[in-house]
Amino acid sequence: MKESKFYNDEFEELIRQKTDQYKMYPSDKVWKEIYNSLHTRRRRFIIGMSVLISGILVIAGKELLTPAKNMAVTRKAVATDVSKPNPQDIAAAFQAFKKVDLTQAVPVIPDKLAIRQIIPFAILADQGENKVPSPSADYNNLPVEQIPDDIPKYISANISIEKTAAEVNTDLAEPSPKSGSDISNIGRKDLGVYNESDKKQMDWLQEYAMQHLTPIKKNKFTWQIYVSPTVNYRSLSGVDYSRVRSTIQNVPIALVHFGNVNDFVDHTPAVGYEFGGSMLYKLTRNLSFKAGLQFNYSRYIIRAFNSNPELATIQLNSYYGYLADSITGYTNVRNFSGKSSENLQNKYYQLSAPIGLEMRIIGNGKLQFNIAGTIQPTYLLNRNSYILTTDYVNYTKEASLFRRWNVNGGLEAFLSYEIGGLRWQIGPQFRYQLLSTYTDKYPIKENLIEYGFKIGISKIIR
Amino acid sequence: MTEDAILQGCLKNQAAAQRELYNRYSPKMLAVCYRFAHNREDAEDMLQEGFIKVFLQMHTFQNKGAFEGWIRRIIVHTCINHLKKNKRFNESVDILHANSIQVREETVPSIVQAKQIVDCIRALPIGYRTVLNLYAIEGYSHKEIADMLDIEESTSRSQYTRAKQMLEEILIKKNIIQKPKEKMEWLVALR
Repeated sequence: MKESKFYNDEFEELIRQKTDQYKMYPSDKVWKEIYNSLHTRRRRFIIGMSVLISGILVIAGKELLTPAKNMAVTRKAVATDVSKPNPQDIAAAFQAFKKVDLTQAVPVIPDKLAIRQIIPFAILADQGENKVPSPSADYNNLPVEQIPDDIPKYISANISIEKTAAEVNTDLAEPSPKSGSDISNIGRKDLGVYNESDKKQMDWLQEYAMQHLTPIKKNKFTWQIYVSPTVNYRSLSGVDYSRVRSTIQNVPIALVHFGNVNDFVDHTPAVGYEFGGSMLYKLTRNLSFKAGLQFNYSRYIIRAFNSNPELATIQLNSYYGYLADSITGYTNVRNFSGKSSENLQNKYYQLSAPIGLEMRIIGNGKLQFNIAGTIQPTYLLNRNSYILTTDYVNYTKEASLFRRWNVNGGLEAFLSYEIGGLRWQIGPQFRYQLLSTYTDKYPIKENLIEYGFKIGISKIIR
Repeated sequence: MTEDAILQGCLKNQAAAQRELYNRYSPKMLAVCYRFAHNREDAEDMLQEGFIKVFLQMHTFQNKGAFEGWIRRIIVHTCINHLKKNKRFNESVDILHANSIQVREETVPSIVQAKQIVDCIRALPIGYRTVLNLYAIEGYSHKEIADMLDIEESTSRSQYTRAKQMLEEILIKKNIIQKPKEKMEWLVALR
């Protein structure tokens, strides 16, 4: 590649030396663009989660803002379609049918006008031929020409005009009406005779029609949104070097303090919060499956000290027991003593997808007592928290030692009370991070603990 | 983090390792891009494009040479491709017009340092600058340059000769280097 003359030319060598020394620092935007290009899957995951959360919130908001309207519509629809028909309406329908002058031969088509009123009820009787349209079918507004010819036999074009009204009524009451009966005496019969038949007919229709109505489906899905103030802490564990340092090969070589790590750190709990939404699916009367999305902001406080910049070394575990690697950087935060005391805050922003079960223990209707448990695959959004060096002397930051994906377990118990179609719940909860915050390379393990008081609302999706 | 750990991490598409690699090499590589580019914004675009290629082609690195050299080659090729998209560049690199170029004195800084040399190089016409960068600094042969820029090898040679001549003039004008007869003494003094 290089031509031999190149190195002999001092001018060129000078230029090369000088230009190689030159460095420029790119803006943050460059890395963000590179990162976005390389991690589209992660970006899609975040976008997908955002869409899901937004969806749940929109559904919840919609249900919260317009519950009364929806309920009114639902109830009205049920009253119209499902409840027993008004006997007066049925009587009016039959009255119209009876007013046809049956003593005269009348064209068949005009009869449809008369029978139009009773079709919605009469057709219900024709179950044997499966020609039964919905009871709510509106034949009242149909033009005569559009009334179907295959309506039940006893009111179709084949009906005999000479049939008595009583027989017609009887026919209506029976799935297989007699055809061709003599109804020549209809004009002589008293209308009072029909009243009794009408009543019988109406009773039958009311009872029989109800059997064909589709039962209302019970909705098994419930949405839920919740928020919870939490108190966060951590538990530290790891190899107790005071006992094993002579045999374990990957003991940090820079270790100067031996013993349990908990004896060397001064940390206190701090307040965080949690919010999220989930969907519940009712498996049985008392048991529901739940899945959702949740955001957690956790933090705790570490007491540390400012110092002059000094080397901070983190010895890493080796999988093979030899060739232990280490990470070294500069820090101005000490664990034990320094120029001035300082409270560090380790903050964790987590996105998780709780999946679990919720069980009703006692209660019915309005007031209930429930318990729930979830497993929460969790994604850590930030990795800029302080980490203790393995000699316990300094705190530093090392993003590569933080585990992105983790698993949390959650337990909760709560009282719930239903008001105005919404179920409110309050109760304590406990959340524990099952895997260490740090990767396996870091010898110290940290498990986050959260105690919270959850407040939530839920509603059945109708 | 060791270089080997970074490589392994990048091969697994780990963001932390990628960031570490970027932090380690981006300052030097941006300086490379800057020598080729019209302005800093273009240089950052080149750097971004180049690093994406680096991460995507990481599996092709065979550990035979220096990792930095491998990255640098990708970055330089990205810069050239970026420049070739510009019609003006294609015209300028193929035309000999050294005599018609007047370097304005105010474009050259007065502080004698690495940045000063880089800025003097950037004061050259784009065609000259590119050939000079590739030959004198990146170490490509004229044949390789000719292939990269789709020009004749002789054109590359003549462009370079004139570019070098012009750069020397600029540096002398700015008292960064001495006139040719005193050059050797100055070079000794500078070291």
